[in-house]
Amino acid sequence: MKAVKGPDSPDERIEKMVIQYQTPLLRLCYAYLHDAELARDAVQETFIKAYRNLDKYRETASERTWLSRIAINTCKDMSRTGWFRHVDRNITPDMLPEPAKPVEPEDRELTMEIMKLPAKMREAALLCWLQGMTYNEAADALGISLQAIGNRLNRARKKLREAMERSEAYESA
Amino acid sequence: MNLHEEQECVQKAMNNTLSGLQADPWLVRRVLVNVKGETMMGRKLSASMVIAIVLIILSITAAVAAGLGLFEKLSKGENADVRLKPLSENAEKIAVKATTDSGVTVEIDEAYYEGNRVFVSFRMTGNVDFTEVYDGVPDREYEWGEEREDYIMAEYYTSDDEIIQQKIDMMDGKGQRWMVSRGATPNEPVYFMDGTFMQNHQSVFQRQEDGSWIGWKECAVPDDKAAESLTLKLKLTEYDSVSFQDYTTFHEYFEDIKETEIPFTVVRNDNLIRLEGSTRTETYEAKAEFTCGQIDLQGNVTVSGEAPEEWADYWDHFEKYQETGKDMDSIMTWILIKDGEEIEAVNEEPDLRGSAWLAFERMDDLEGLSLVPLYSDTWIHMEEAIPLTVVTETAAE
Repeated sequence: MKAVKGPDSPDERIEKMVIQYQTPLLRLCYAYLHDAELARDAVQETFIKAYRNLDKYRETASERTWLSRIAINTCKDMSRTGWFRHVDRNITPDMLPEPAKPVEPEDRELTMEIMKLPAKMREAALLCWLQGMTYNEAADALGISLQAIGNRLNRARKKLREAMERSEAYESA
Repeated sequence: MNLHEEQECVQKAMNNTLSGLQADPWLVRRVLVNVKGETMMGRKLSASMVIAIVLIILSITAAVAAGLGLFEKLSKGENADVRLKPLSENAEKIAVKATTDSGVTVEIDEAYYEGNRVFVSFRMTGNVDFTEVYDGVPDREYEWGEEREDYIMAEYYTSDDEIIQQKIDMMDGKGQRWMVSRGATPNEPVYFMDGTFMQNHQSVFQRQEDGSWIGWKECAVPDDKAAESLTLKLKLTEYDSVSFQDYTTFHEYFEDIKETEIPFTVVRNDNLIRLEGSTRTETYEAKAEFTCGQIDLQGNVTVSGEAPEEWADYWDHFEKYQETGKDMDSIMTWILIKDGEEIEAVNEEPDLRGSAWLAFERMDDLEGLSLVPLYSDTWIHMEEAIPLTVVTETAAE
């Protein structure tokens, strides 16, 4: 007789999510918070919240979208606290973690510039570009209008383009 | 580059650059331990958080600045609006106060009326924020108005402030607790005496170390209400709330209990320079009407025509358009350019039709200004710029 596997238990579901999404969420949180330890705290908190709300998860959104939404709001909550605003969050190249493999300079440059974007642009950029959300999903996750998402992404594009042009001009000088 | 190409480009760059971030091999275990209420293997307090906790205590201590007008005090805050400094130099002292039956005193400190806006600063003292936390479940049934997952990370935070610490304890997720809060908030708009209210362009208030609250509002005066002086009222709403946390859900019962009105009068400053301009394309017309006074350069760009209606329909029915794959290049807002440089708005309220209210830091030299539309896909269209020209200068009587 063939064994039929029942639905995953909550423990099994969260374990699968952690295995699959821990690393992308860690990058998302790090890019937002500029601090590896805080990013790990935020990721842990994200999965705790996810576990507690597994019953509310509807498969209208992908797991990645759902978790990204929790993660970015966790990061936002952390950055709203008074203490966070009093810690120097400027990011410099030497603060980035040592990459596991060689990185092209323009990739490093683009990452740095995205991390330096003002918070509102950074949220939109990380959700839509890094996490692959649609405008609609990102607007829903951040509780803002689609127009605002489009506006923030446009401003982010402009800032990135200017920064990359400055960088190219500097290198060719 | 379309959205998909942008995603590929950013994902490649960030995934490569951040490939050295180490995943936590014990994360599954930590999450399961945490949600099941065990205490072992909790994350240690990171060094940055220890520093942060010290910093919050220091920042609270440093926040005391006695003897300043409130606009001046607010102007010294972190990321303060640049208009607070000129407001501190131009606003008139009002100094009217009222005390509610429950012991909250609200004082309107300063106000300023220029063109079509009123700015007002205020302070609240007394029993502004009262909180008691109890163990167990609430002593009676409440019709919970809001039930949500709340942010629970309290184990990482401590505070010397007793009220803040109580709230932290309330949210620690380690036991059933309920909390009674009573307080007062100036959330409501500012009203005329006949009950008409003014739209808030800005409403900011912040708690001080001593438990008092200070804040300011920027309110829009409707055209038909403009006058040499205005008598207005700030409303204070006292509320009563009960919150209950049962491990997974945060329940909240919220009730407005009383409103207190504090009237004040403010005289208009008419020392304004008016600027106007317009542009016309095949699909829309835009008209800009701005004023520059003592506080800022502000005004409206009003867009009309065929295109704005399509843009509004697009944003109103975005999902439908996404399904059809149809994209729309619409005006998101307008950018002020002077001598080829963008001047960032200090406050803005664009709408779906491409119109916008915009405010910028005041400037003495008003030559060479133009407003340029910012489109959602094709970005800046210099050829549709609206040159702003000074049309009149009105002196105060």
